[in-house]
This record gives sequence, structure tokens and C-alpha cells, in this order.
Amino acid sequence: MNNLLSLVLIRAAEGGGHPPELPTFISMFGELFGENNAIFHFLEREKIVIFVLIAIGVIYYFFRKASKDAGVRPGRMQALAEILLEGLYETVEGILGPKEARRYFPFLATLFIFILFMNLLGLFPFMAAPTAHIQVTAALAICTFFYVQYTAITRLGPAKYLFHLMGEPKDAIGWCLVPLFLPLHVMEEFIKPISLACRLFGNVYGKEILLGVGLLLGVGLMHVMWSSAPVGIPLHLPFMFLAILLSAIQALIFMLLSAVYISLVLPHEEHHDEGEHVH
Amino acid sequence: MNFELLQALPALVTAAAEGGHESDGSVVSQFIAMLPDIITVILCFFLVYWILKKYAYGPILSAIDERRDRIESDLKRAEELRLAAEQGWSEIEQRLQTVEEEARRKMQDLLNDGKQSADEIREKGRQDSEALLDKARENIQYETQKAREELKQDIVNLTLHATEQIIRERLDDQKHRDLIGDFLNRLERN
Repeated sequence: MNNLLSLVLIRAAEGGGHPPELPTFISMFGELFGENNAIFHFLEREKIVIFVLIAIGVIYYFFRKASKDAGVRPGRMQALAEILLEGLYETVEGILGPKEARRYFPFLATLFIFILFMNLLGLFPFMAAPTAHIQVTAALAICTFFYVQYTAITRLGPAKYLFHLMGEPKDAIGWCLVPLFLPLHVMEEFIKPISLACRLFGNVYGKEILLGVGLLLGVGLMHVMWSSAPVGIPLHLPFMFLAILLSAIQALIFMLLSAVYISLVLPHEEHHDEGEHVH
Repeated sequence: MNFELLQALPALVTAAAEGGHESDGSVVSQFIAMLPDIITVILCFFLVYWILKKYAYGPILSAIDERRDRIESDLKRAEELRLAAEQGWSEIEQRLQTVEEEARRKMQDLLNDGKQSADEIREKGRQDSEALLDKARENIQYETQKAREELKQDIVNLTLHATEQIIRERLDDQKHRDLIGDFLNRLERN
């Protein structure tokens, strides 16, 4: 088993031209049944979607079980789900205010929960975090981008949104600066999702590499000391706790930034009325 | 000991790190290559949204809202009960005060009645005693009168006897009695 692990790690590191990664059930399948079969090729090609679907399955199982006997007296799963949702709601409420929080909470909470479960998936044996792939984080960033644009156009109206992109000029100097501000703000709108995607991808990918390197070192050291050892030294274990924290923090940052982007395009007067000034 | 793998580790990590930065083609072509995955993940996001809407935002949030409403209504009811209890307590205190006042008043009435009865008994006793005194006085008067009559009779008899002894002359008995009676009547008047 240890030899198999080391083989997978070495193959991942030198053969594919990728950093060392934790072995997944797909790579194990390739090692066990050979890489020249159709099933492995399919699994390898669709591994991102497969891990995303596994994360969705876990989300479905968790929340279905939590809501099965949802009542005034909560069960263990319901209590956990309630703590999560209430915490998220209070966080969103702190940014958007009580009136707007109810409207935008489902989208933001979905972002958080989806990202969190995908991040945490990489900590389970033979699983990988789909968020370690730019495709996944880009897809989530695109969702946020279109949602923010939709919110801006529906809440402000196209003309007022354009005025907002111009920097809301109030005097002659302001209008003179419009040719400068408008492209900057338009670029900013595109840079926001790119930064979201790259931040999440970079952090989770870094976490995966860190764990992979830790595991590789552990296996290598054990080989040095005892070549026929059945297991390696779990050098990556301390980083697992760090990875749990990082998974939650990155999901939270993605959600918080999305909430801030939404709050930036909401009508200003309403924010003043609610006593929420996020600008 | 197997040093081959350990010696290869730095090279592996370096190669891996360098390999991760390798790119084929432009950013746009890479993005287009990733597009199916991106679209699939976007669809998956909508699927997660639907799942959470059905199983989390619906039942769990409504359960939280229901619990919050129930707690609020319970608190409100508890406050109402507290106010009612306070009002009831003040009513009880007021009633207790009324009862105490009533008891005090009744006790006072009873005391007054007792006093009145005592006065009546005393008055009756006084009247009875006065009646007894009157009766005794009448008896005394009667006895006195009787004694006086007897004494008068004795005096008359003694006088008669003495007179007979002195004058040795026996007068008419009825005349003597009249004479002595007149004498005594005059004596009483004087």
C-alpha cells in the first residue's frame, strides 16, 4: 500500500508535470487497473465534475437529514445546520442590513456552503477539493459577477447603474473625470470576479500542494528508515488542521466579498435609512 | 536504507512546482477549453441552490423563525402572566387588607356588643339590687312598723301596768288605751 502511495505521488510529481497531490480514488483506480482503460480516462477527464457532484451529494445528505424532522425542538444535525445558517445570516445581515439580508441571503449562503463543502472534501482520504481547480472557482466567480450585475440593473436601473459606473459625478470636475472613471469601474467589475476566483483557487491549490508535499515527505522518510514499511509518517497531519481553518476562511471570504460587491450596487439611500454604511 | 527516494524528493518538488506553471496556448484558448467544466459547475451551483432552498432555507429557516416567534410569544405571555400575577397579588393584598379591616371592625363590634351586654347586665344587676334593696327597705319598714306597733303595745301594757300599780286604781280598760294612744300619737307628731 505504501509503495502504491509513493508511486502515485511520484507519478503525480514528475510524470504529469504537476505538483505533488494527495492520491484520489481516481488515481488509485489508474494504478490498480491501469491507465489505459476507458473508465479511467472518463474518470480522469471528468474528475472535477465528479468531485463537485460528490460534494453536492454530501450537501444534499447533510441538509436533507437536518431538515427531515425540522421542528421547534431541533435534532443534532438540525442544530448544526441552524448554527451554520444563523451564523451566516447574522454575518450577511451585518453587511447588507436586516432588510436586504433576507433577499440576498440564499445566494450568499449557497456560495459559502458549496465552497466550504468542496474545500473540506479534499481533507477526506482519496478525495480532492474541486476548488483547487480554476474552472470551479471561475464558475463561482462568474455566478457572483452575473448576480451582482443583475442586482445592480434591477435595483438601480440601467441609467443609474451607468451613472454609478461613471463615479456618480456631481459637478463639472466629476463629469470631466468620467472618461477616466468609467473604464476603470468597468474594469473593476471584471477584476472583482477574477480576484475572487484566483484567490480561492490559489489558496486551496496551495493547501492541496502543502498536504501533498507533506505526505510525500512522510512516505519518503519512512522509506529511508524502513523500506518495507506499510505506512508513511503522517507529516501532513498538522497541516490538516490548518487546512480545515483555511477551508472555512476562504469560503467565508468569498461570501463576504460577494456580499460587499452586492452592497456596493444597492441604492445608497436605503443603506442610510437602515443605518448601514458599508461604502 | 532506501535513500533513492529521499534524494529524489527536492528534484520532484521543484519539477512539480515548475510543472504547475506550464501553460499551453493563450489564456482565451485555455478558458474555452475549460468552458464545459465551468458551465457544468455553474449548473451544479444552481443544483446546490435548489437543494438548499428545498432543504435548508425552507424548513430550517422556517423552523428558526417559528422558534423565534414562539420564544417571543412565550416571553410576551410570560410578561403578561407576570403582570397578571402582580395585579392578582395587589388584589389579594387589597382583599387581605379589606378582610383585616372587616375582622377588626367585627371584633370592635363584638367588643362593643360585649360592653353593651356587660352594661346591660350591670344595669340589670343594679336594678335588681335596687329592687332587692327596696323590698328589703319595705320589709325593714314593715318590720319596723310592726316592731313599733308591738313596742307601742308593750309600752301601753307597761304603762297600764305601771299606772295600775301606782294609782291602784283600775280604770276602764278601753278608756286607758285611748288615753295612752292619744298620748303616743301626740308624742309621735312632736
